[in-house]
Amino acid sequence: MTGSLDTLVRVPKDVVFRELDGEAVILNLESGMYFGLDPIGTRIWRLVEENGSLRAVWEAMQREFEAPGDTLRSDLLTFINELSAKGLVTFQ
Amino acid sequence: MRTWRGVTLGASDVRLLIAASFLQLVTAVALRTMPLPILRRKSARLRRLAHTILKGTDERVIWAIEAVGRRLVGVSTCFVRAIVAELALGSPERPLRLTIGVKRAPGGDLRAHAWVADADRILVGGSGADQYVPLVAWDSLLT
Repeated sequence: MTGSLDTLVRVPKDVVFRELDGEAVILNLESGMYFGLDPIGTRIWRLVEENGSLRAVWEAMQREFEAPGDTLRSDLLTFINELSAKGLVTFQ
Repeated sequence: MRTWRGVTLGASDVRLLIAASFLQLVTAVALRTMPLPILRRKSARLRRLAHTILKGTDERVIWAIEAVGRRLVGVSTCFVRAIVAELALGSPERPLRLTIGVKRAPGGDLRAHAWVADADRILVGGSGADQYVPLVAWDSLLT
């Protein structure tokens, strides 16, 4: 399954997050893998945690980032699908 | 009598080393074959085994875990050693905290490390642990 703006996204309970020098480190206890996010990825992760709704995340990104809405939507969905492939988020 | 790096070992030391090797092998295999949450749910059985075969003072048990761990290259990691130490030395009466921490290496890569502590005293994995930011910590492997 791939995400769309109408998808709700949830962080599984076996995924833990911590900020390290402004960048996110995410540990998937299920797989034992850990990942780092750059500052933009970290901000999107925060928005996903706060909102759950990708549309709300996209709207917040449009307010925060100076980029065309279509580009932000495409980047957001690509990013979320990569997180999903690594088991770091699930779609509802 | 056997020797280990020029030190004469008694029978109890050899037993500890064998037990520490066995538990680290079992733990390493378990970590590779099942997700950590499932391992944690099944750890009660492993804890009974650890308490049975890896008995001794804290110092001797820790010595055995670390001495063997340094030689089980590719099998024993800091996380494996931390789990075995928590299983062998921890109990409901003596909860030990197992922590996984992360840091940025000089090149920018992420590095992870695990250690086990009894209150403020790090038992296993203490070397350089203060450089890591705790990511997750459990007061017991048992869920």
